Amino acid sequence: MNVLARIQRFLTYWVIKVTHGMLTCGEADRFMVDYLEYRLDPEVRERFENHLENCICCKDFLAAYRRTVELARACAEPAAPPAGPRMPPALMEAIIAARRGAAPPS
Amino acid sequence: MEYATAANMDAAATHESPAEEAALIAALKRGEDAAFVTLVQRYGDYLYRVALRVTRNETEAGEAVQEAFISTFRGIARFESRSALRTWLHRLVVNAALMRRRAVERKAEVSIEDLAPEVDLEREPQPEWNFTESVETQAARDGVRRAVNEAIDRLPEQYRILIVLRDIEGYDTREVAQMLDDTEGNVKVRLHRARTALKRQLEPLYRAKAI
Repeated sequence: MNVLARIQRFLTYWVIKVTHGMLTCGEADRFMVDYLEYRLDPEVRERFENHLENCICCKDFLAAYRRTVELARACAEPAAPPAGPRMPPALMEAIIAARRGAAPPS
Repeated sequence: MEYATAANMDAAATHESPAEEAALIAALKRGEDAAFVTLVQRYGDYLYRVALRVTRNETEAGEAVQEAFISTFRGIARFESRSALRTWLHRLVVNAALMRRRAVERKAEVSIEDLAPEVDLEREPQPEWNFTESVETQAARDGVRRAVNEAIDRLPEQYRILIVLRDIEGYDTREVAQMLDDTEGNVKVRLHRARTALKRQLEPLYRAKAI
């Protein structure tokens, strides 16, 4: 982003922020975790969403951020059975044997 | 954002009816040897995978699973069926794995600054990013799975563990804070940074026709 565009963006946000109470990018950034967890107050949530409507940069950022969280979940390894690793049989035997030597339930 | 994940697909694999679970718990409380064997056979693989995700180490994961099962045996009398047995076991193995992880925690911390600067507001519109493909379709490709897991592994440990506990294992922020003996505020700040760092690494996947 060139210098003029940055200045223009900065001024635009401050004008909108002052006249409409819009969040800055920094403020919106701090609310992203709570936004995705639906933990923002309705008033703050509305301001956050207003910001997204007016800021394509933060809107794109949030889309990628959300996809990142989703991909982390969906791609987590080890994969589910039957493809994922299994507990070694020797470990299973050791656990069962250890239990026999452990104190009984209290 | 609820959909099939490795963690909950793993969980589904151990699903049993409430009646079966109640019978197993009752037998465990009576101290029946066969019930403990059933418990280990039914949940062993599931808990081992959870422990592997937390520790990234087969030996530590095995020890965490063993510890979790012994804790189960010792504490089953106090188990109240307000939560599912699987949920209780999951928490036990995560706690055991976190303890193991602390014991072998890395010698040198990696800075996250290179992956995600603390103040990162130099954003630009990204018209070439494309999210029309479903997460499931994208995640089904081996190249994507590998890239995502390698990117998670590259995160400094104190950030990686937040992605694992919050985004993969599904604990909420308050629970993660309790597990890590930290404040909820700190967890949120670090989680955001961890996700931002991960996002940066994955941006090539978000460009249209990337893979």
